[in-house]
Amino acid sequence: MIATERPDRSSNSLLEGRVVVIVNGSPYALIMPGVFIDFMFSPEDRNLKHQFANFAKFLRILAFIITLLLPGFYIAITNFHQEAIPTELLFAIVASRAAVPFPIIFELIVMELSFELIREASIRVPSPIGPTMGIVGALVLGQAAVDASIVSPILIIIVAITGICSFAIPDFSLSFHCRIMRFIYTIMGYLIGFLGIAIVLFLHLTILLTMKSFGVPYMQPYLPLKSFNNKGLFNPPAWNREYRASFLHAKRPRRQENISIPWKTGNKHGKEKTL
Amino acid sequence: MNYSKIGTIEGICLIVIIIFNHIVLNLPQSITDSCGSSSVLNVLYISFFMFLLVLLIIRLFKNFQTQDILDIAEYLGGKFLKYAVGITFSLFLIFTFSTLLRNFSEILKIVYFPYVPMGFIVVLFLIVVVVINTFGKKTVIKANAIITPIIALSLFITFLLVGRSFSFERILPILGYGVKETFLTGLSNLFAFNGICYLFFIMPYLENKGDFKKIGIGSVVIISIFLVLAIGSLLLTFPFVKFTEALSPVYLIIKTAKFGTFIQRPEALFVLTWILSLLSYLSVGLMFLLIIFKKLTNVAHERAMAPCFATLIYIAAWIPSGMADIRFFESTLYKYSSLIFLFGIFIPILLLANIKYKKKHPKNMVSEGGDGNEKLS
Repeated sequence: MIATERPDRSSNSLLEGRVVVIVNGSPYALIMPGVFIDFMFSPEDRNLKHQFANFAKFLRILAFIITLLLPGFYIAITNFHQEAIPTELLFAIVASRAAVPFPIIFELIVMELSFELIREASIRVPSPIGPTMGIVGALVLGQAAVDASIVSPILIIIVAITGICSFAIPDFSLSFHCRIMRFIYTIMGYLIGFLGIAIVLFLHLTILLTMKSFGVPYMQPYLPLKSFNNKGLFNPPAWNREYRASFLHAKRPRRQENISIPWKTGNKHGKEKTL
Repeated sequence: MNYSKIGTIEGICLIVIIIFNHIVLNLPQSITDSCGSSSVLNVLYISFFMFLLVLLIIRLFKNFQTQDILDIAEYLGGKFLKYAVGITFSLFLIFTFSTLLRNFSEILKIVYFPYVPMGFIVVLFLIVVVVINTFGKKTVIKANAIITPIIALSLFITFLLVGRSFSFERILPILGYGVKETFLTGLSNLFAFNGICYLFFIMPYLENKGDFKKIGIGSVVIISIFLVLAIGSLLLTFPFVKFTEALSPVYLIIKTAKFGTFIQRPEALFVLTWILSLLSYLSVGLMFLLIIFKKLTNVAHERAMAPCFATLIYIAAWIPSGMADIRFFESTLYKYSSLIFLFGIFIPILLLANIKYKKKHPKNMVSEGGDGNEKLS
């Protein structure tokens, strides 16, 4: 289920053919069914030009992949697959890690946990000192840790990029899911490199494929491959959003007329004719 | 909307994943060993031959549109033939998977895990495959349908990246070892299309029976394209003298890939995709083993047998004593047993079953099934 506090998202979901549950006392409206791509959707996408919305969606999907896999990839490459890194970058990484006495897994777990602690603490910090907390945390944990040779600078970059990408995921629960799964990928990457990451990736994918949201497969409409009808990876232009998503089995699959811009028709000479 | 049946793309992915795994391992080498520099010509030749064969298989299946080869074997020869075909094919599958798994594990051990016991790597793969199969057939098919296009893309990028290392004079002499080796004995390279054997089992699970033709033809076309790319890349990059390397030729090809100064040694990333490919292939294979087991024994919950089959695969994986044995198993035993199953068992069963069907249902009589499908007595 999608949990949202936004009335525009809830009303649009109702118009799409979904079910919305509102419970007295809870600030959230629960929308069902919710498939994977819905958690990558932001309500602003509907109001933007489709090119901008699709670009933002692409960035979010990229952020999802990075936040899930980047720490695991980094640790697998540095431990098992060093040849994948260009030689100059490899020298830089080795040089930056030369003064650090801890194994890379220890560094990564400590920095990831610290980042999570800062994130959790900043939720409850009073708003006047909230920004200060973020700056102090970043400065103390980042720069001071590097200066003390507890962690390497490249690891700070990795953790920072991972954290920023996790903030780019619109849905809070999916973001939480990534934050937890990231540790599993990291540990398996440390233990057996790309073999471990591939195994977890395969298992993760399989579990996502077994899930259903109120009878609708979670990875719909990609698998099983059915017609997209406006709920594919990217948003169509506003004038092409004629159908409701086919996996919703709406009573009325069509939501608007065939040509929603009747004031523009072309004549046989190719010139636009305004009515 | 029926989520439990196989669509066209899912069906194609089920068949094509087999060839992708063999391409990554020793299939290109086996073909170049037999034909030399005429391997590409040979692949085009066998692709055409296989295309005609698949059209024949599609035509022969028209009278048995809700049945797989085991049902057809039972129709033809009773339960005896059904069990004989089922058990021998299951043993063949166990042998194939164990050899492939052992081969890939050996490569991983040589390159990345020299101090890790071989058994650990093999067991790791099998545990994952057993866990995946406990989720059911639909999940395995869907996971395979996601993984296969990724593998196809990674293989395609592999062949693009090594384009700079091509020397086109290596295609000469154009007939390689000779006309006989290219066009007569070279027919044995039809084993490269061994994935077509799975076509005989998927009919009952198709959403639309008309998809069977699309799956058959689509699979052959895609397999042909990738075979040509793989053989061509291998041939044009290295001389076609026999390989004595223990590593896979495609791995050696990708080691030569370079793109500017940033992409220097990308083989590790491709190994990641190949591991996914092997996991998917083994999951699909174990799924078919369980399907055959269920057909033969009529058990209610065949998924419980997944660990047993995985154990058999693990035991069989220890049969080859080293890479030389693995090469022999793949280039000789696997090659000829694939051909025996395809040409010696499945197609003759189909042909004879069709003859029996036509004798029972002459053209001027209405068939018992009403829709052209023979009911099993």
